[in-house]
Amino acid sequence: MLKLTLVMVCALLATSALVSSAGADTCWQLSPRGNIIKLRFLPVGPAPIRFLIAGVEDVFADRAVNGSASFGVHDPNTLRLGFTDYAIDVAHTSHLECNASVALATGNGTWTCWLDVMGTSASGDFVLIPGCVGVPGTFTGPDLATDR
Amino acid sequence: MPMNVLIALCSLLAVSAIAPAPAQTQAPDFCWNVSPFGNILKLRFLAVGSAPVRYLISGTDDVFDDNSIEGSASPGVNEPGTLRMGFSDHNGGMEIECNVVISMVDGNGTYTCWQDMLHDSILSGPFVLIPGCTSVPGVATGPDMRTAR
Repeated sequence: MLKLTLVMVCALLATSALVSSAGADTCWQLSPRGNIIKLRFLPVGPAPIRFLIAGVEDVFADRAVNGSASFGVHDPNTLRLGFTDYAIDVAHTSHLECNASVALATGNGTWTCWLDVMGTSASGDFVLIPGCVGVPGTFTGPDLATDR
Repeated sequence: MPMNVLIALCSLLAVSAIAPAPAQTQAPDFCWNVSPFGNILKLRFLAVGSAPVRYLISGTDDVFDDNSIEGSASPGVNEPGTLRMGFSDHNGGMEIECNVVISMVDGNGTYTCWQDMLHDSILSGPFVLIPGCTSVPGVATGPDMRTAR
């Protein structure tokens, strides 16, 4: 079972531009905001593969990110991500919930994030950053946690 | 702090920042008291990938009730020498979100927890490591943070 799972995961990942190496961070920018999220995927079970997400969003502060991801059924050749960014918005006493859809071919896609109940959602391009590294990176826009 | 706890914590937290960790390494529970409340959080860390390691958190908050906890953790970048956690404490209708930062030296730190949309609900205080964590609920040393506001 494990071997089969590994083979399937490797086959899936090898055909996508999402993960440069298993167990390493894959980075995206929440354009046009300056936030860069670094996500790591843990495959869970056989096909259709699901992933648990362990990540961080550390350009502006050290914030934990966790969630899950699955391959699209309604939108084939996409990976659908859902995650929580524990960056509290003190003014609204809420954190960020996000949906993202990325194309397996390019690793790029779109994102939508929102504060619970508030209706203050934001969206934009989910831009893959090749060569992700452990340092925070250079921000090119405002912090999504405070700029909506 | 007992040496074995310190060694276990350091091996889980500190070493991972400088050396590749085996994928999906599972550790025992680490327990913290959300001071000054009586809640004791028992968190288990699943390492995902190599340095800088990321962890998935699976835990429980079972002093007052059986509540599930899930989240993630990573070594601090903006605050080196720390571990940053974010997790949700799931209790029926009263989910609590938490941000925690602890020192990798002694395992203690601070927490901030909140309930979405309730502007008077932000709680914060010392996040106190409890050595020798066991599976029993533990002794409450204060009120339940879900109701004591």
